[in-house]
Amino acid sequence: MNDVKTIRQSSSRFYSWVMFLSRFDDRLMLIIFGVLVGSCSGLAALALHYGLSTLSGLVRGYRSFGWAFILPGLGAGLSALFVDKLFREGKAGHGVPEVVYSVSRFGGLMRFRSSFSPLISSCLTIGSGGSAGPEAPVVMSGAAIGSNIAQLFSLNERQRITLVGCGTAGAIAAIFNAPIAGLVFTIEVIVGEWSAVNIVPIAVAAVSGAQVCRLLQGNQIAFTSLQFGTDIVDTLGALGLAVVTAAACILLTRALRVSHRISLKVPVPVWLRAALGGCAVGGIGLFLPDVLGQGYHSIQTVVEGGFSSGLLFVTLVVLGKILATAITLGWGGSGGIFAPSLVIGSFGGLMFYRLIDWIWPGIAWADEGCFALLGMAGMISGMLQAPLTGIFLIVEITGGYEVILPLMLVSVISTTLCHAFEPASYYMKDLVEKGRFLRPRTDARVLADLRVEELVETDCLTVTKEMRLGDFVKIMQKSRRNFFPVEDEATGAFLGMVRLDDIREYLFDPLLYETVFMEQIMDTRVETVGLDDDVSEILARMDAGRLFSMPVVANGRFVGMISKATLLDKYRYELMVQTDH
Amino acid sequence: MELKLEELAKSLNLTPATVERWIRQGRLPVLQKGNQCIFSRSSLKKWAETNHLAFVLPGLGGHGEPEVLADTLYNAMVRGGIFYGIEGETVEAVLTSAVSRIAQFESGEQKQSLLAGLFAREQLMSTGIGRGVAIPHPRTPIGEIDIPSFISVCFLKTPIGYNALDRGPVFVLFVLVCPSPKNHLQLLARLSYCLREEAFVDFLRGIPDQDAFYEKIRTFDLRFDGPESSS
Repeated sequence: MNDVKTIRQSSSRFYSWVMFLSRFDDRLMLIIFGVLVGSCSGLAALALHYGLSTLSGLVRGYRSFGWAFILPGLGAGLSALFVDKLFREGKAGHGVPEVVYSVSRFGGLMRFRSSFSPLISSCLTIGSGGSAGPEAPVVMSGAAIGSNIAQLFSLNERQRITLVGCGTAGAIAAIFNAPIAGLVFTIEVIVGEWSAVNIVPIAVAAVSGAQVCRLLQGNQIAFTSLQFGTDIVDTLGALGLAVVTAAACILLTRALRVSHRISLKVPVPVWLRAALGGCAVGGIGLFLPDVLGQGYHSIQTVVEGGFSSGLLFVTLVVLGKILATAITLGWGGSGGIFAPSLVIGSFGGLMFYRLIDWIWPGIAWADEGCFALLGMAGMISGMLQAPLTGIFLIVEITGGYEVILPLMLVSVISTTLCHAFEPASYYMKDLVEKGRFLRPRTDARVLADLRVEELVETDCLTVTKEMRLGDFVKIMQKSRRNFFPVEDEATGAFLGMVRLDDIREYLFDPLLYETVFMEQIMDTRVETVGLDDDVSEILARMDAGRLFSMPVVANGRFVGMISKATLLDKYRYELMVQTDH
Repeated sequence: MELKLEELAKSLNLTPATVERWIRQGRLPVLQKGNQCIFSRSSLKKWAETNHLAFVLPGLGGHGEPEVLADTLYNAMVRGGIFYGIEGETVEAVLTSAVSRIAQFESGEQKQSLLAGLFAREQLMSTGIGRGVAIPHPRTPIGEIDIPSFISVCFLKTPIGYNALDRGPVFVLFVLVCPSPKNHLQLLARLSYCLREEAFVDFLRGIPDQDAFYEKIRTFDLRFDGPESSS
């Protein structure tokens, strides 16, 4: 506790004027910071984009050689080495889960080096041919930029979270040239809370991120806009496609996990592991060059209808891409699943088109590019379990609104199917398993915010083990509580508890007053909690033991009691004082 | 005006740890300047209102329950007074003449309601607790009349039958009037502490004069408070 900190009541008019202004300033300030953060993360996104295209241009020249398969290995190995040794980030994260956890647990606190290290490591991995996406690293970098700008101006956690969201939105908006997708992705996946206070600065950041991108790159839509006419048969076809994309999502999620588990069993250093994985991907790439890199060129070809291979080959590409992504990311390469999902989705859509065209050749289906788009939407929605992000992203990056009906259908059905098989999306899975998935306004979040220190009640009267029952009765008369901790007189160590409920019937028997000692009636097997215990765990223990209160013991000494009644009181306060007022 | 973190926490009925976290999380409308937090009373008050939190600054007149201070017998009896030669043959008659002597109530209406309360209590069960002593008191506390608690000691002219627990005649009344049950219990406990002593009852039988009586009561108060203050 910080005793030095004093709260000064403003006495002059000046301060009340400042306070008056800051109520609006807060919003205005966040909007201004939103522009700054959005632009910076937009620049970061562009930097990675240029880095990637330069590096992959360099690498493409060597693709024809037979030894080219070691290139992705080299890149992934360097990237892992870089992350592990130079920046000591531990393992190469995917980016998004780290940001979500930081937002929900640490008020968006992120390290400064996180604002550029994922850019460099993912550039190495993907530029050399690893199958991964640049979006998650850019998201992490943008989030870190937002967090560090907030720290620079010593903003509070609520404002810092908003700026982290701004960074994310700016990054996604810039890399896809899709401001709405940036906004929706941030709200749906990163912040997890729709509130006006958040949306305004985040929207502004998305705009500035996209604007920076357009200023420097021109207003290019990622995939040239094509005119598709869709009919009711395509909407029906979307139902089938949703099943295919959902299956691909589940396959990819599980493949990633299995591949990561296998990689952990290989007894080599982290960087060598990543290099081995990269080489394997390079090997696949020798036969299926479409699986290498972020794969936007392949998507372009597919959407434009330029990919003429048959059903079997397309299926092979889908499986190959899933395998390559699983190996790249599972074995320690650095990158995200956004772009691979889009590639798998587009090939999945094409595969489905080839299939239905082969079964019902007479029906006038929409263009195969249209199905590729739908496949992408289904895949993104399913992987992230964020249907809105899928819908808006695809609409924006293709510039086509005509396909909105089947698009929405594919997205939501794919999300639902994935959710049925994988209750948590790939991003959130680790967080959920570690109990770190703490969305705002949830029970878990409130309990995570509360600490034992805030809940402990210290007005208990302590007794010593040598005390006789007669003396205890006098102590009891003065106490307001039913619990009496027993302490060792010499050391102050906590020995046990005396519960009034247990001894009530003996209290009125004067014969026992001189013959019974506290240590004879105290409960020594009482369950205790520490000051650093998680409140959710304490509650679970209370529920399991049907306890209503538990003693808090720190360093062997009694601190106070923690009870469900107080907890309810504080819990209510937490819910009452939401951050968006 | 400077406020410690603990004081702000107290005015919001929270722990300092919670207030500190709320400031860090940006839930409280506080301007942070280095190690100092500056707030304006009006915005904090408004914030507390929007969040339905109680906010009472210390020293600004909280509306909490007034703290009941431990009253001494001596003080209560000085307020109530000692009266000699109360006349009457029946319980009703002595109570009526005792109440007419009590100076605490000004209006006849208040005296009437006190008397009604005393009668009601006697009907429930006699307040004659034995050895010639009765402790008449209203059946329910007289909460609506804003007066401090008092005890009026009334020595009767002639001892009368009072349906006492030991069937003996009663020669002294301790009319006990308190605004709250808590007060009532406090004074009753002290009174019974005195009356438990045989010597005190004998002292009463001698119908002591005012000064001697107050002196005696003072020693009892000291004895009663003694063990508590030493522990």
